[in-house]
Amino acid sequence: MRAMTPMTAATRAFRRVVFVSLVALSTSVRTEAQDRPVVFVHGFGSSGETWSGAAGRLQSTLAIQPATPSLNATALYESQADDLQWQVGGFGADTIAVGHSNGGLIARQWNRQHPLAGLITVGTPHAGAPLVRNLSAYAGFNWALVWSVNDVFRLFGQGCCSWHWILSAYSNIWQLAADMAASSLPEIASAVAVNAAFPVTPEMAPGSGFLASMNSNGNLAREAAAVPVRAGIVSTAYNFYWGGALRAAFPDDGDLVAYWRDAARFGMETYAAYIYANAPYEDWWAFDIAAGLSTAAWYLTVMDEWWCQSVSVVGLGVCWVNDTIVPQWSQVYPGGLYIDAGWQGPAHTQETRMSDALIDRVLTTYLAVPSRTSTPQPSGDEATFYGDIEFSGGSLSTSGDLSFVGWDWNDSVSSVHVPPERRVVLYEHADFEGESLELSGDDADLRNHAGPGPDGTWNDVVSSIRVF
Amino acid sequence: MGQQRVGGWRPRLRAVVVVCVTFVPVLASGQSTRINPQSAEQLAERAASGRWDTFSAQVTVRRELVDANGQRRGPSSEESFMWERTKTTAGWKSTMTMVGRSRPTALTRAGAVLLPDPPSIERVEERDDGPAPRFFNRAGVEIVMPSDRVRGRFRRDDAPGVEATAVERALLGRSFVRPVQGREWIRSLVMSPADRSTRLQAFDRAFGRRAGQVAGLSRYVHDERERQREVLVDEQNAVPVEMNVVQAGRLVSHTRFAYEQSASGTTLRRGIRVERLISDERQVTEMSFRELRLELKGGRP
Repeated sequence: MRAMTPMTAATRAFRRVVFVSLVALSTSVRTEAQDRPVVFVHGFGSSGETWSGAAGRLQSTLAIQPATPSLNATALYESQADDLQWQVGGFGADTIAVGHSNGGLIARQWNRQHPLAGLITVGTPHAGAPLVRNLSAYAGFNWALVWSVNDVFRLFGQGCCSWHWILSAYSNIWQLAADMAASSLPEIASAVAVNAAFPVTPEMAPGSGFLASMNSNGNLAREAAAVPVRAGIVSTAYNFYWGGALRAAFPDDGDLVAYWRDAARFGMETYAAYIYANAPYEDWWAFDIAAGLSTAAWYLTVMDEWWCQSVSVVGLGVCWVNDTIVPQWSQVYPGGLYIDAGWQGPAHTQETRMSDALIDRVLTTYLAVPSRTSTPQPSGDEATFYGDIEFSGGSLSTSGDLSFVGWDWNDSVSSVHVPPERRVVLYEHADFEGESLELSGDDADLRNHAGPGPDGTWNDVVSSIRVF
Repeated sequence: MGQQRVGGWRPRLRAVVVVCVTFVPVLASGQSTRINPQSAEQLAERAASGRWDTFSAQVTVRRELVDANGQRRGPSSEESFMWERTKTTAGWKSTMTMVGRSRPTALTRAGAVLLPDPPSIERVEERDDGPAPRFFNRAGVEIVMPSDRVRGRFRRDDAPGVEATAVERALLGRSFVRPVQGREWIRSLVMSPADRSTRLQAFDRAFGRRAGQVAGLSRYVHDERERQREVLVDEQNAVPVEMNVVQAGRLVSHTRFAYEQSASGTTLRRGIRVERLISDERQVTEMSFRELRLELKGGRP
């Protein structure tokens, strides 16, 4: 076992006090003696806070006592596991660990020194994250993409003026596409540890010594004997391919950024064709512009495939289904249960917020965690949400808040029934984030409200709901 | 200049090149949208008569990146669009609709699968009289472009995408008024033999006197600061066959034009192949125009 991370006794004591306080403060449901301890372990670019929403929701329905410790996510897996032991090592052998992304591997490493009754991983790169090795290649592609859009503006700047009317329609969209592409990599890097300077990064690469040891036959046999229930929740993100790195960087707006990228390249295709078909041949400046537009359109077109290959296997070459960061093949827990989130799953950085149902299933079905006795909800004052306008189509009813409406209902609400004397607030994103719309009465057509949806309204854009 | 070639390109110069499109795009919908194309002769007659108000063509675009050894690098793409321009009282209305593309595949634990089509943008509509372009997804829903405030959420200050100076230089002091057009633009696409001398005079005005002949084609050369542009022109039809741009001794762009000729001498633009040097690789684009039609619809869709 590796030595523990250097840390002063005072620091440890302080962190322990802070951690215990946080758990106590975050626990709105009174814990019972029989509640099972569940440790939620975060991955890179986050803290224990990333799990607090799911932990609270699960605690409200299941007899669990959650803990959401914060770790130094850039440290070696072994150091983080040691820190985890320091923070929650006092929990008993009936403890269940739930780890997201790197947190799954930290939990597995923790199990080498702490007994666990169950271990659930969510989007964990058990066999490594190929992106760690491929990022520099993708960065080169992304640089070329941004260059190509810059080149379009440069080419327009070289002449005047018979074609500049094209810019009046498209300059904003083209700038947006380049800005999103340029911003996507730092967004992703900060979220998933693809920075060679961090100690944990080399350990994340497929074939690393850490992963080889973790997935060795000997360790898998040890885990099988030591941890009765091991399950890997495997997510293929909804529309994972469409938008490439843009969706990975901005998953809550995944469809929007993909649409805007599409619009940018459609404009480029249109005017490349227009010029090639119509420009007078002596107007060579026009042909230079068309070539520039065509090049940029190509980069915007193939960025999806480039990203998919970058996250799929080391050295690129093939595209695997993935959660925008980790390929399916690597999310599979070796020797564990395969829990499939399907093709409508969350993107990698959404997984802690949007995996409640599957975690609940593993806890109740395979780990026999009992439900908490719940107070019956008052009937007759439920708000109802419909899939179509005019209160038609399928419906979803609730009298309480929904921090995520679920994948079947995400971005699908078109009309709302609000009971008398109640109010409903619709949110663009899960966890009551993004833009919001408050309704105090029935609304037969959410298209009548200007909003953040792709069509500029509140139709098909709701992800979470509050009912007052 | 004519001796400098990137990656072993060998220009094949022919007075008239008829494009033979051999690929059939995999259509996103799984259905073909073929229409009856008009012959070059029919197009020439219709263009000359002025009795048409709708132009349509299928535009197919294939692209790839190749390295110095001619090996493909990274993914390629192939897409087809239906392009239509309709004359209205307010000017020309243009639509570009995606009709075919190669659907991506991905590996799963169960093997390779074709990925489902996303609801991506598949149509853009524009009008000459000024409104912003309108975008529609596969379901026909119009997709609204973001406001300045919303756009700002997707831009990090530490990762600027487009250089502000490049945009300013492109926009500064320019006129953005789209030229009012009648039907004359079709004469660039459907080129009448009667306009031959006009086209040649335009070359002369742009390039000066021809600089000689190469393989039976007139060679025009134009110096542009650090670059030199060479255009090889088929004088009989007054159309360019090849255009090359050399910069710092390297061929940075090589373009070949493809045509179809009618019995009466009308020349149709049928396609273009462009190779651009990007770092040490070449981006290759082949764009072809097929199924050209000129129709008089009188406002009918």
